[in-house]
Amino acid sequence: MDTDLRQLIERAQAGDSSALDQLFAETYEDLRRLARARLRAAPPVTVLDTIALVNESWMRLSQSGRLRPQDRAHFIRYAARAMRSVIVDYARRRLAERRGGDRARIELTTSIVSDTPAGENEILSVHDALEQLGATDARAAEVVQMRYFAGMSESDIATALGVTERTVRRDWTKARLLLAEALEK
Amino acid sequence: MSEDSARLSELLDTALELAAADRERWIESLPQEHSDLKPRLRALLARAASIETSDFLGTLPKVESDADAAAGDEIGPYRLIREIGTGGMGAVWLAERHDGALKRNVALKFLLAAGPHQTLSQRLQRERDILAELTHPNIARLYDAGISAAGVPWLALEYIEGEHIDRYCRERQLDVRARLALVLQVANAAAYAHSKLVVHRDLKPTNILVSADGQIHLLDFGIAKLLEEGRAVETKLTQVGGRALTPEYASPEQILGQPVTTASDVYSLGVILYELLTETRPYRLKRDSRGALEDAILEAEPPIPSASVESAQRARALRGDLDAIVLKALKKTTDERYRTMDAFADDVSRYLDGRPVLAQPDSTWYRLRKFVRRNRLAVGAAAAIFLAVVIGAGVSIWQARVAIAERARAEETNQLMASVFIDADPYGEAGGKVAAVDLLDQAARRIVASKTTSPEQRLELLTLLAFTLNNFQEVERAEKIVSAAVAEAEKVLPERHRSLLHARVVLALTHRYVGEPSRLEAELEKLLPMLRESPDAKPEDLPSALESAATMALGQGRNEDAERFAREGVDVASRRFASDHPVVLTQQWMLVQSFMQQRKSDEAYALASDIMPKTLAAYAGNLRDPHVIEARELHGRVLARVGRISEGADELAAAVQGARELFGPTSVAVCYFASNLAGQRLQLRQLQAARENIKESLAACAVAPGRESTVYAITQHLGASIELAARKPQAALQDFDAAIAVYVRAGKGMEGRMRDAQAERALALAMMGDTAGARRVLDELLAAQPDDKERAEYTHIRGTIEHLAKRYPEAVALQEQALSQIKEGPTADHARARFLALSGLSRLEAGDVDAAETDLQRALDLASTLRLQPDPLRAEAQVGLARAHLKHSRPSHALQLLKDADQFWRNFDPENPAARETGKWHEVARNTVDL
Repeated sequence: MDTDLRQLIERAQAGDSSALDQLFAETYEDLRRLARARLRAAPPVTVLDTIALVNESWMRLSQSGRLRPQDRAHFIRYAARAMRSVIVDYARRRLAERRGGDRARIELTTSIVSDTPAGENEILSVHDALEQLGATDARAAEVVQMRYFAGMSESDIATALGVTERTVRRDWTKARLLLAEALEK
Repeated sequence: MSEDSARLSELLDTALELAAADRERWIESLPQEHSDLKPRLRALLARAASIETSDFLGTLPKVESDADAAAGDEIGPYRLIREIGTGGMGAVWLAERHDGALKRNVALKFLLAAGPHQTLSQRLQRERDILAELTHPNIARLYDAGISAAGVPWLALEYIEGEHIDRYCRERQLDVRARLALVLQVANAAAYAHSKLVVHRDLKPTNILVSADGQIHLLDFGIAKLLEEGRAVETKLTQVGGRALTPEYASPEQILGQPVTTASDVYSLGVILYELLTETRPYRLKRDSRGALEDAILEAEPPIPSASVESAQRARALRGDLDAIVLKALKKTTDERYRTMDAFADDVSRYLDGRPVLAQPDSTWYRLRKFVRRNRLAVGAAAAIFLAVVIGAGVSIWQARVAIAERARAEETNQLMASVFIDADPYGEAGGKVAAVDLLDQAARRIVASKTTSPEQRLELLTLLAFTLNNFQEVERAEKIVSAAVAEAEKVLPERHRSLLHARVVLALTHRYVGEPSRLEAELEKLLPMLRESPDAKPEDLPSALESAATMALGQGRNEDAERFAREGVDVASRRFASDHPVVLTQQWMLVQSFMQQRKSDEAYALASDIMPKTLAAYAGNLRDPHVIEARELHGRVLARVGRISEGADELAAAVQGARELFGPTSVAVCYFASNLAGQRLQLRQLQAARENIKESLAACAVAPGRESTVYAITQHLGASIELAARKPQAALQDFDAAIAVYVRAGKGMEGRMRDAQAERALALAMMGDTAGARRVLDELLAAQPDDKERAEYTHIRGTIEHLAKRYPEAVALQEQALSQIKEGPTADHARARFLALSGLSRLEAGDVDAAETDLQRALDLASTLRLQPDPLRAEAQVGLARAHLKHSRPSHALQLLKDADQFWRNFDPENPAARETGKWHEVARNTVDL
């Protein structure tokens, strides 16, 4: 693996979003589409869930020889982080639009727009609270990131983080307790 | 605040480990320092039980987006009614026209996967128009296409109510004929589309609906391509975008990313037919991964349909013709498949009509041959390889030889071997790859264990096995097998038994390939006399043994012995075989090698010219045969040796190309061949091309024999010489140093090359300014030079150094000396051209313009006669001659030369200081002419 790639992954892991984009431009597109699909009020997206998409993207990248098997865990974790940033961005934009941003619709009726922005608010609140949680309990925050934003299973999360499923469950409970507390304030 | 949080987090960890009932007690028992957190802890833990079972944060909330559609929306002229499914590419809706023009229901498909578009590109529009022209009762019509306001492309398709074909057949428990009839409908519909030049690319059961009236409807014809086209413009995903989501029905060429043709549709339909007839998949995987599936599609042979069904009745129905039809549709290469859907449809209807079917079942021989052919490329240079490098910088010409001894005779496997293969069931359970080697291993074990074969037969089989393993480069295994076989057979068979002798010849071969010269020598010493006195041994055994002996002798530098063995080999072979038989030719090439090694260039040339055309004929003009490639390489070197360097380079280039294709770009053969070619191109002053060859050679040599090997060093040396000729002394220096380091470590045999490298390196130093140091090196070398073999070259370099040091009279004298020291021979003129150029330039600077003009003109004439490529030295000579002309007031003569030189530098290396210098002179000449 070239050192640039390694550095990019590290920076991406640390949350550098430009590193994210640079690193996996193709994957990012896929994730973006997936994120939008998950946010739509359509039947559950079963065709591609995050981990399947990650697997596909992973295989593509590792076959090109740029990544090693050891990097897979990094990649999965990156993917969750990317999903989160996409979803949060999206929610922000939707929120701005509701407040009267650009409306370039011609044919679609307005009936599809729901009245209360409950979804967007929840996403952004969780995001903020998660940032705070991440300061003291990085792993638990990552578990939430992978479950809530990326929809990954406990076993996938356990593998990616290198811990037991039990640990994941415990983190999940703890994180939710703390987030529930934070969200109620 | 964060400290609190950290503490809280830790406490929670502990608390959550406890049973709910114990938590309160634990909180109570917390030490003083944590009392401030107790209330929070209690509050949090109180909810622990309910949160564990709740779905809080378990799913993302829904957020509506612009791309979303809902019932009643108007998309183009259609209005959405209800959603009828989610395809792989996006949602599909039932819709109707809202303008009341036509009452027609359509399936409106959003291509969300394609990303946002602004407008349908022209190409997409054209595609859409083509698809819209497909009017066939069994193909779902494409009525319209467009882009929604949100930028999502959509297609309006004929709305079909029906069941997927596999489900339809299963639910109604249709018999074989009924299923075939349905598939025939599909084939005919597809054939129609193909006639309109539209390929489906994504045939699968979910794209084939059967309506209530039993009619087939094909969906999404050509959509896959539309999608791809659309993507091509928008995102970078095209590289991976063309791949189907599930490759189960994808043809091998699709997996490989090769062009998709009508035959690809045939393949997909073949898979569908397989499943419909057997209710199973053609590829059974041990590992359920996409990679395993792709491998299987590319390599595994599907089990015969009739063998894959449980019911004996069904098996009977499928056996024979239907087996043949299905398997033919599933062939990996389009050559072997039904090329057109028509052909496929035709065979199916023949079957249904009770007429004979055209597909042929695979014969066992066919399967075997195919198997062996597939592994052909693995048959590489099992090598006894020697050096073959020509350094063409004019400094020295060293030549050793390459003897690549590999034999690709796997297809000569005989009947005995065939039976072993057939019994061994190559396809196994996994349906995955089978290594030829494992198969052979199986065979070996089986033979050894068998009680019914005679010792003679056993020995023959094992020998044959070992021989084949050799070809697959499994030389250690081969050696083990055959030496064990020989040891065992020796106990029961007489010493001169022909099978035993043959086995020993193969044993010698394995010693040779493994690289065990001592064992080889010992074996040959015993073997040769025995073979000579055994007239009824296999006729090719003695020649083969003699070939091994000659190779060994050459490797040890015993050139006369090598010639003797080779001559004997030719003699023996000619008596037993026709004069153009490959065995005879092989011996003769051996003889050529020994001639080359002994510098008997003329004899080498005479013989090589004679046998080259015969060799081409013997292998039926197959330029990819390893024997032919090897012969051309040797021929090329022979040609160069007698001065026909350009022809030699051509032959060598062909050999490199062949080696590249047959053995791979990083094979040992490419390592040596490309290096030789570079040397010849340097002599021809084809510097750019030579550079490419050096690059290629180094890449291959690094793999094997490695960066510490002498051939690697020699190639680096050559590369440095090229850089020197290209006037890049800095780059040259590095490579010289690297090469010299290896020469030093190699010690014996490399002294001459090392001296040459040092001399050239000194020249590089001089070019960079250190003329004093360079001079010292050359003086030492000249003093130590034992004979005047290379004296001319070193003197020339010494003279060039003086020129660079601006000591022109000395330079002139040295060049004259060098010219007189040139040894006559086919490459004398090449050296002369170079020396004269420098001589002329030095004279010009020394003020002797007339003599300079003579020398420079001669140099340029020679270069032209020898058809050398323009290079820096020639450009320098042109500038020199031009300056002489200017001094003699012949500006128009000068102008032509300078134009040429200027042009050369612009193409070759515009940054070079000489380029600027030349441009300057060009200006001067132009101005002078204009006056």
